[in-house]
Amino acid sequence: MGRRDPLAEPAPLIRRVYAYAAYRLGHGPDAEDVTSETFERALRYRDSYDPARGEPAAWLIGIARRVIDDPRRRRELPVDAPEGVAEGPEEGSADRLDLQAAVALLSTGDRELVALRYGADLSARQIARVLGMKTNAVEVALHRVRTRLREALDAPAAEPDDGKRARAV
Amino acid sequence: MRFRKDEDGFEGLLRDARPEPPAELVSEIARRLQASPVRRSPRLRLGLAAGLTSALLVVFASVGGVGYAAAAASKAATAVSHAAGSDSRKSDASHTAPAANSNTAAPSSSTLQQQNGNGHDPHDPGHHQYGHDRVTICHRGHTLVLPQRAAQAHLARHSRDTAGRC
Repeated sequence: MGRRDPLAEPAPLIRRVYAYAAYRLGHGPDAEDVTSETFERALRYRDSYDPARGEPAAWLIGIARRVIDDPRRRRELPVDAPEGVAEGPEEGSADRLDLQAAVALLSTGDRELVALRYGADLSARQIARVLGMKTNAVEVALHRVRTRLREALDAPAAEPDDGKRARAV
Repeated sequence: MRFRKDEDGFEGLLRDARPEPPAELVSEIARRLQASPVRRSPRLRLGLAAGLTSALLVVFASVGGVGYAAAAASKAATAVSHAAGSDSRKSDASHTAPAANSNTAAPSSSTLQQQNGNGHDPHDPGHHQYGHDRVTICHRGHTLVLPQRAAQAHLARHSRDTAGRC
């Protein structure tokens, strides 16, 4: 009879929301702000959570998307390359940095897909619901994004290296 | 490059490369969430009230309370309809033949006794209310409407009591 508390186990949810925001905005203070604001709103609207409409993670990601798209906070937010890329990889996390840099080069739509699938860890079906697409279409789009990412990672290091990678389109 | 070409391996790598939030951010948000208690929604409260009411009704019904209440209501409705019927009959009588049928409007006790033989007064409201097993007697100057047995006992005990109105 009691309604399930969507924020009962917050730590994994915080990680998923942060990863989503970081894939969209870049690793750092902007992603932290979005995560913080998302949970602030989630706390305010905790009673409105309906388990029949999806898991807590999907609900939170919906809030995070609105926070990111909120015109009040939507200044020109550049997608920065991950910290440390310009200075070179640290502590053996080269793969991670390469990958995050490659994600930063993707288009907004592709980055959204990567953020939802590999940041927020949503299933294709959940992503389809969030984006208003068909599950098949999401799977195909994800496949294409992975191909593009692989190509970006396999390509020789000919990217502009002036401290900032090329902005996403 | 370093990434395997197979789909699963690449996906695993994408997940492993997920950006991690600073530990203090996680603990700060978690602390804030745990500090604010979960409020019960109004819908939940309404549901709780409805559930409790249903449970009470079930308990009430199981001990016959519902039947008792229904019977009481039914009796009250019957009594009201009898009373209304009696009133309308009386008014009908007074409207149709107010002068010619004065016996019907105000019958004497002797007339009643003649009419029903046992002191039953068909025009008495008590007759309509309590049915045919009631008898009207005159006890010490007061007209009483009693159950048949009680009337018989009265008449046997009090020699001055008479059947019918006083």
